[in-house]
Amino acid sequence: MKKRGWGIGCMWYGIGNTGHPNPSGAFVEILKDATAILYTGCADIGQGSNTVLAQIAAEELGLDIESITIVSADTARTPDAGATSASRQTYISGNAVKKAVEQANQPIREKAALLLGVDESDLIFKNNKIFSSKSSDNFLLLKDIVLKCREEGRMMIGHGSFNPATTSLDSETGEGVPYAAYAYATQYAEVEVDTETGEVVVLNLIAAHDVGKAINLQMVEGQIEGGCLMGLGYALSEELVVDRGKILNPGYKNYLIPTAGDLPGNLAVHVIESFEESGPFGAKGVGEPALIPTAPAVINAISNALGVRFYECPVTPEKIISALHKANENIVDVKS
Amino acid sequence: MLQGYLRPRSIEEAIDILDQYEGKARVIAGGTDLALQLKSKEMHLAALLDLSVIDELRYIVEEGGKIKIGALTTHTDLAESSILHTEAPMLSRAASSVGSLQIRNVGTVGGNIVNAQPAADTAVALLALGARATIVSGTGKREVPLEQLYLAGGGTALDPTREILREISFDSPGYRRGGGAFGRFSKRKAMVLPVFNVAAVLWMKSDGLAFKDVRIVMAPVALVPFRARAAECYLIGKSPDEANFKQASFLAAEEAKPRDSYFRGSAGYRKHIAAVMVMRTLDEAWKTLLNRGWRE
Repeated sequence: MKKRGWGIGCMWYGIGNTGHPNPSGAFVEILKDATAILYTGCADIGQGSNTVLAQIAAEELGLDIESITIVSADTARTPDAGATSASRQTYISGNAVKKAVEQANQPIREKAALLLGVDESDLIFKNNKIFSSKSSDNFLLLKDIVLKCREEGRMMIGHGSFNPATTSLDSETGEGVPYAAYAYATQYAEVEVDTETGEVVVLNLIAAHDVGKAINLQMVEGQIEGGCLMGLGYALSEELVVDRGKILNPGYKNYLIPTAGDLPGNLAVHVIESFEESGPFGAKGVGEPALIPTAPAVINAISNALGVRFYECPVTPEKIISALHKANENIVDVKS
Repeated sequence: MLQGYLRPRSIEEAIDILDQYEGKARVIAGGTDLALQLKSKEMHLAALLDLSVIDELRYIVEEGGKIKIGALTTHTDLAESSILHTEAPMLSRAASSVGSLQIRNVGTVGGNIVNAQPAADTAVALLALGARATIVSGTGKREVPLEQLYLAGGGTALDPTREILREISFDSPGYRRGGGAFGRFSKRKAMVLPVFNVAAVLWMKSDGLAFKDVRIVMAPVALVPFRARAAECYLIGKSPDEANFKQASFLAAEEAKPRDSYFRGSAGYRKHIAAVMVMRTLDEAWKTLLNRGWRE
């Protein structure tokens, strides 16, 4: 028989290291040809931080992303950005990059405000131009202003750093400010359980994530989809088998991570943009939050389908059959 | 130390070379298993004979109800063959559950048989279909039923130092009032060996009321795929109904001798899965038979 059920998993997750300073720094130089070089220690391990940090720099200057050259993950040349961990790089290094660009951009702002006859706070940098917020007809070309600055001997160099506002935690009560920003997410799963084999098929998985602001929507969606699959592996198949201290499945032949074939029938990602006040353009982290609610949602769905609860991951077909047998025995006991 | 990688143009040339190397050469087809063995095992080979350029060994043909498959036919060929979709869809199904698309594109049916993995999907289907293997060597040609090719202790009766599997053939079940199905249970959808796989073929008596012959092959619940003979005997002469299928699947699970395994599961669970999967596969085989009718 096949039984269906649904379940929900919710989470909140602090961005960055817990109750410790964990700053990031960046250098930026705007060059004569109105392109910029960005130096950051941030290591892109595939999550796309090189793209996101370049986007943040480009957005601040009103340039195309192609105009930004990024030097990253090389602390012989770049400032330290701390670890790519704790879902922290978009939020923390993103802020550092934004501040560095602001400083590098200062000579341009001063010059442009003077030429447009407006306050610096009225300047808008967009499409390689500098506009006055009062009139869209009134604008300058960024490259002209860059050249003027250089002709006057002014370099456009900036450095920036950001450290999230945390405090250490009280050693007895745990009281304090562990994180400056939090991500929130809810996932909903629908499963079909084969009560004869114990096989679980995830029919539907809906992931709603508050990311503050999606700097790069496609990458955020990709990261959430990837996280959901990791969460499915955690919930259903990834089991490290240890015998007297020795790992018996140290390879992917027997340590089963999901394949493309194990994707849910429907996987829907909803990106919620709440705007995080302390984040660059409102952004916060998404890396780890993506996988956290998946296993609870799926396992709740299995429990909802079968009326049996599970307290150990992964919930393998064999564990399901064994739990169903036990549940049936208990019913018999009650009757007799 | 491997010195030669040779590409014979014909099977005759390949056999000559095998003989010349006196046991120090092996045949390579898709290489999906052999390449791993070369890395992990102490195989003292002087040469590999790559057969993949011999196109004459890659075919699926049907002649008067007999299906003939060249040993170098890939799993993808089997999965996509219109002849098999009509005559033995269970074999296409088995082939399409092997590994990944990349593995199916290069891995051959001959290799799958000769490598004699306990859970080889196509071998399970072919054994149920009563397939025979044509084997050639310097001393001639022999035809062996596939189930005699597999040795109870593991491995095959083919001598890889001088023999080459050339062809696999079987009678299309549809021509003898038969129909079959393949079932597989695994812990993931792709790229994983099965916890249990089974193939069943049912042949009806001419009155259409009872089974004339039955073959049920299970794996990996012993060193090689094997027939659930008690279940087969029980069904012969019986009518196709749920109670009979249920009893047969119970008997088949009794015959299965799985061990406790960290990865495939406890022996008890694996027997349970065997009963469920044999039942479902018998049911599907019966439906295939009904849906496709039979030709006299």
